[in-house]
Amino acid sequence: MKQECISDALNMLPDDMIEETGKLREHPAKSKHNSWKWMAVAACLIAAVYAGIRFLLPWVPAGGGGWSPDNNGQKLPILTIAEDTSDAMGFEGYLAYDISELVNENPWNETMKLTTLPVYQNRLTYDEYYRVSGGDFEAMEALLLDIAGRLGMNTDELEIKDDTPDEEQQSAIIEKLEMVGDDVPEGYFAPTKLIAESNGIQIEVDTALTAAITFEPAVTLPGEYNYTYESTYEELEVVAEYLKEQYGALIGMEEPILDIHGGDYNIYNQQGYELAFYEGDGDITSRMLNYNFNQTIFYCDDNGKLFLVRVFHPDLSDKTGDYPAISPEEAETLLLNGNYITTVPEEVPGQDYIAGVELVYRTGSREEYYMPYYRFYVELPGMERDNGLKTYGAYYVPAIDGEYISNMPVWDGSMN
Amino acid sequence: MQDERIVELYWQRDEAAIRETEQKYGPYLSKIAYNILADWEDCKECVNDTCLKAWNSIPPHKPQVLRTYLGKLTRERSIDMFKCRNRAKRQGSEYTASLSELEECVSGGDKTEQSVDMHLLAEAINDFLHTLSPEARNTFVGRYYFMDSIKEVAAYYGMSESKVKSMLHRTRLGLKAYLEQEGFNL
Repeated sequence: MKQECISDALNMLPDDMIEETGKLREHPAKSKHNSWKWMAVAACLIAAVYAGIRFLLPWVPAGGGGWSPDNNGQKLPILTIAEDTSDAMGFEGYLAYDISELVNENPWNETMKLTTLPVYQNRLTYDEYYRVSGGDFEAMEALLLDIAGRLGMNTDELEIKDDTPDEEQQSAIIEKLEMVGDDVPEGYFAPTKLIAESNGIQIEVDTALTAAITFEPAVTLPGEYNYTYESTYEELEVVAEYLKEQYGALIGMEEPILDIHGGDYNIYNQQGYELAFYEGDGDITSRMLNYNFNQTIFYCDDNGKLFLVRVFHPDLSDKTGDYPAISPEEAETLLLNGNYITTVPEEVPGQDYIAGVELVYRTGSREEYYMPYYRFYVELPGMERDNGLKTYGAYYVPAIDGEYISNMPVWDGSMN
Repeated sequence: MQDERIVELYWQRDEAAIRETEQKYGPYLSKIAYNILADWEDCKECVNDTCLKAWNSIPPHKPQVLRTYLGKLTRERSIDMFKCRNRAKRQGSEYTASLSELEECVSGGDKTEQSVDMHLLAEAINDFLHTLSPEARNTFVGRYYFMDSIKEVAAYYGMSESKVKSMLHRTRLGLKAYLEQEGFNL
């Protein structure tokens, strides 16, 4: 027998065995091997810093660290960056012939001199089974009814359900878990979404306060609008005007700013964009927050029909503070020093390959804090394709002063 | 989009199924393919082939666990692509490394092509893996099914790489003994 036979036979392993390992791959444990060593080092550093602060700032409490003063003497909590917030495997890379093809309507630009940036606590938390807690079902219902009202539904007669599995589904899940020797964790079947449907429109709101509006059947646009996966930027500008008119109530913004973003290519060499709106009313900080957190995105199918709209409205009520910001130049220094988070399987190849930078918030549902980062687009020379398409990997450097971060990222070759 | 809905789209012959599959599982499948092929271009081609194969097989199939179904298609296709490569392009793949480790499970004697009932072999391996602790089982599946690197497998439980290597070594020897006991000609 050849060893290839054994490898090939593994393809016939039962699904539950593969899924058991699959879950571990998604949520690996923290390293136990190094933790004691680094905790000891960290303890020494904290003690040294605390001793220094006690002499300079007499109002540091006897309990010691956990927060640091900003330039105005306001107390700001020290933040922790969650280690693995990616929702999928793989890496964030953009295919394009030139960086200029990647576009969006981010209100930030490099000429802005922002001294502070707000940080918010994510009120949702996830356990080892990726079950969420902290969801506000009252807020979810309120958002669902608000969306339903904007769509002209009769909210008095609307039946709202949740996604709790029925008895048959629960039995099947229990059976699967028992096959691998697991018990059903408490709260495993707790609901995570609210759903309502009326006249072919389904509204689904999840704990992150994202509303997904699905049209069944999908909505046909008038013939002059080319709205498909391969629509050009100019075609989408025309479509956007139509959608803004038809769905103005759903968009619900004082000054909707059109954000046609994307411009990267897929493996078929097709360039694509996404069509969204965000509220442009307000100062630069408001616009940045709306751009990053509160978009309404329209989705077409390949038949040129509108089949889905997503309205993002996460809970930002828990503001941690306004933190001192660093400049893009300071962030670049950190980038070249290896202080970044990335899903790219390669380190930054060098300063010459930095193609662009923008200020964004990482908004993944598993972020502990919603905080700003500089996203650097870095050309990856080893991934250029024969047809000239380059791959630009995304590397994230925290945009706030490192003094307020307990675990400044250091790239160690793993994909975050 | 939920898996049930994606499978429904396949059954309805709605091409949105392919787009949703790529969006939801593209990175997951790319990782499996990359571990075998170690080449991003081949990896993307493999994922593309997986989506096509899924389109052609659903219906009549109705996968219970879509992710695993797609993962198996990708793994199989990646290995086929790998076997067609020339020797030079086989370097640097975790698949090559895992095969060299699995040599420990076979006797090393007769290397001629033999007829092996793969279903019986798979059933025996499955039975053996069920006798192991979850740590040992997941380490084995992670290394030889998913072909994650030793470092990545170590991260599953926060173990050291040396512990992973010794655990895998013991498991390979145990598997060899079990297969011999079950009458397989190694």
